[in-house]
Amino acid sequence: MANEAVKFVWEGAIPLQIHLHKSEVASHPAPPPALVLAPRLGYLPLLVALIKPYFKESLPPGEDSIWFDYKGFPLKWYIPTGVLFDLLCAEPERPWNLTIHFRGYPSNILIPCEGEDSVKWNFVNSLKEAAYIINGNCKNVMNMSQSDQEDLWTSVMNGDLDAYTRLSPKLKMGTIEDEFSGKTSSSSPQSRQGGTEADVAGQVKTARIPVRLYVRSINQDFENLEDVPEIDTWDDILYLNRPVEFLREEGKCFTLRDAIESLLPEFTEKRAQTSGEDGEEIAKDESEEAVGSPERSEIKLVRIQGIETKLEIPFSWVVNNLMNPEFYLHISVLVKAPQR
Amino acid sequence: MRRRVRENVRRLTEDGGGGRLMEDEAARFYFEKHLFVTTVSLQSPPERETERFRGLILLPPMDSVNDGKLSAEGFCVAARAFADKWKRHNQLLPPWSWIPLINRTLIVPNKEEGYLSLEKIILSSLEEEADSSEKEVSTDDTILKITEEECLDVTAEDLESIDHTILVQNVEKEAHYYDFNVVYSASYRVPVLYFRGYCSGGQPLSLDVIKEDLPSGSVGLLLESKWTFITQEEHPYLNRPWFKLHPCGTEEWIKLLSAAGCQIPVELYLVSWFSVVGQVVGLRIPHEMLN
Repeated sequence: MANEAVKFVWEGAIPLQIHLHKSEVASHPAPPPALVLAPRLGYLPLLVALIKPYFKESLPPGEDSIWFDYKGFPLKWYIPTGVLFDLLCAEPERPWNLTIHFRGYPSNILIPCEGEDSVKWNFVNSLKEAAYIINGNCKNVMNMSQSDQEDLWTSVMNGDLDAYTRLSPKLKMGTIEDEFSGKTSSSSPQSRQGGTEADVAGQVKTARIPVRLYVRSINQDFENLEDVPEIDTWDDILYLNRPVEFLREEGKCFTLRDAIESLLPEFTEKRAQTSGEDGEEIAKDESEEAVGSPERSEIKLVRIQGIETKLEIPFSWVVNNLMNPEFYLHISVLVKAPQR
Repeated sequence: MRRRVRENVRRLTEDGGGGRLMEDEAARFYFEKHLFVTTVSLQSPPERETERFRGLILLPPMDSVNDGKLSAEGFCVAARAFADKWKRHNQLLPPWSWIPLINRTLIVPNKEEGYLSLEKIILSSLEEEADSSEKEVSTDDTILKITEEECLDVTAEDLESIDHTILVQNVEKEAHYYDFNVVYSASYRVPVLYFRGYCSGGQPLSLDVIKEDLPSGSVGLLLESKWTFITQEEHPYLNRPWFKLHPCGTEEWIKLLSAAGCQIPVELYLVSWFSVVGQVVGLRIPHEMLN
C-alpha cells in the first residue's frame, strides 16, 4: 500500500488551460488556450518547452521573460505546481485556468527565472537543505557525482519514479518506521546519522523532518470552499520553512495534528481537564471559560498532494508517502481567523 | 595573499574527474581565510575585565557554542547583544533594529521571534581601502574618508565638526543603497545574511550591478560558484526576492573558531559570525566589538 501511495503521488497531474495574456497577442485572431497536463511534482517553467511553440506565432517581437498568473496573481515558479494548485484553489478548478506572460516579468515579486537551470538549482538547494535537516550535514548531496545528480534531476523532471527510486538511496537520507503499518520506508527523511536521538530509558526518539507550511488565513465566514475569497497578494499567505521535531514515544502516535501544532502553536487547543458528575474526564476548551476571550483561530482544511488529510493520520505515514522528491513535505493549510 | 586565495579557490572548484559539486568548498575556503582576525580577537587575555567582574559577583559563565549551531532562543539573545555592541562601537553607521515577527494568522507581534535589520547603507568599493589604509564610512548622501587611526576616535557628535574638505560628494555615479537583514535559519540552525540593493528611486539592483560594490574576493568566488555562494531567494518574512549568503558552510567555520581554542559565548556568536560574513559584503566591524 505504501508504494502504491507514492506511485499515485508521482502520477498526480493537474489539467491546465493556459491563455496568452491579451496584451501580448500580436496576431488576429487571438490563439485559443493551450491544454496541458502538469505534473504535481513539477514546476511551471518546465512546461514552457511545451507551451511556447503553441503561442510562438502570436507573440510580439522581443526578448522572453516568462511567468504565469492566476486571476492576475503572479505564481511563484519555485513552488511545486501541485502545491500552488492546493493553495490557491480552495475549491479545485479543473481545468485550472492560468495566464502565461512572455513580457513584463514582475521582478519585485518573483525571483528571476533563467529557465530549467534555475529550476534545477532551486531543487538542488532544497535537497541540500533537507539533507542538512535530516542528517545534520549535506555531504551526501555534495558528494553525489555530476552524472548521478543530472540523472536524479531528470527523473524528477520526467516523473520517472523507477529512476528516482534507484538513485535516491545514494543520498543516504535514512529510514523511518511507519507507525501506521509497521513498515519501513527507505526513501523517507529520517536520519540514521545525526537527525535521530534515542532515549533508551523512555524510548523517546526524535527526528527532524523538512516541512514547508503554507497557511492561508481567512477573516470572514464561509460555509463552502467555493465561498473562500480570492487571494490578493502573497502577503495573505504565511509561509514557514521549518523542520518538525518528530517525537516518538512508545505507546503514543505522533500525528499530523501534532506536527502542524508544533509549527503553529497558536492553534494548539489548550484543554483543561475537568471531571464530570459521573467521574468521567471532560475536555473543556479554556477559551469557553474565559469571559470575553477572543474567538479561537480554527484549521478548516489541510491539503497535502491534493489530498484533504485528516489530522489524526500518523505523521510517519504522511512523511513516508506524501513528501516531494527533494525530501520536503509541503503542507497547505486553510485557517479561519478570528474576525476583528 | 589574494592571488593565493584565488589559486586555492580554483583548485577547490576544479572538477577532479568525479564531477562533484565543489562550489561550497570554495565558499567555505573564502570564509575560513577571514577567520584569523576573528580567532586572534577572541583569544583575549585570561585576566580580562569581564572575567574578573564575573568572579566577583559569582555569575555562571555565559552559555557557549561549540558545535557551530545556535538555537532560536540563542539567536534572540545573540541578536540583541550584537545590536547593542554595534550601537556602542560603530556610531558612524545606523544601528541594527530588532524586527519582531507579526503572526499573520493572529495578527499579533511575537517579541521573542524576529530578525535584525540595517537599512539604507551606501557601500563603496573596498578595493581602494585594501590598498590604502583608508576606511570609507557611508551615510545617506556623503562618503567620509577617514584614516584607520582616526576612525577609532570619531563619534556621531564629531560628524558635525569634521572639516568639510574631507567630505567627498558621491557625484560620479548614482548612489546604491543596501538593506541588510540577519535572519535565523531553523533548517541550518545558524544566522543567515539577507541583503538587497536599490537606487535612490527604489529600483532593485541586479546581481551584476551589486558585484561592482562587492569586495573583489567575493566577486571572484561568485564567478566560481554562481548558485551556491550568493543566491537570490525569497525573504522568509518579507515575501520578496532578496540575495542571501548561503548558510550551508556556516556551522563548519564557526566550529573552526571553537576549535581554535575559543568557546564562543552565545552573546558573542553574532559578533564573531558577522566579523567574517560582513567582509563578504564589505561591512567590517570594529575590533572592540569582539572583546
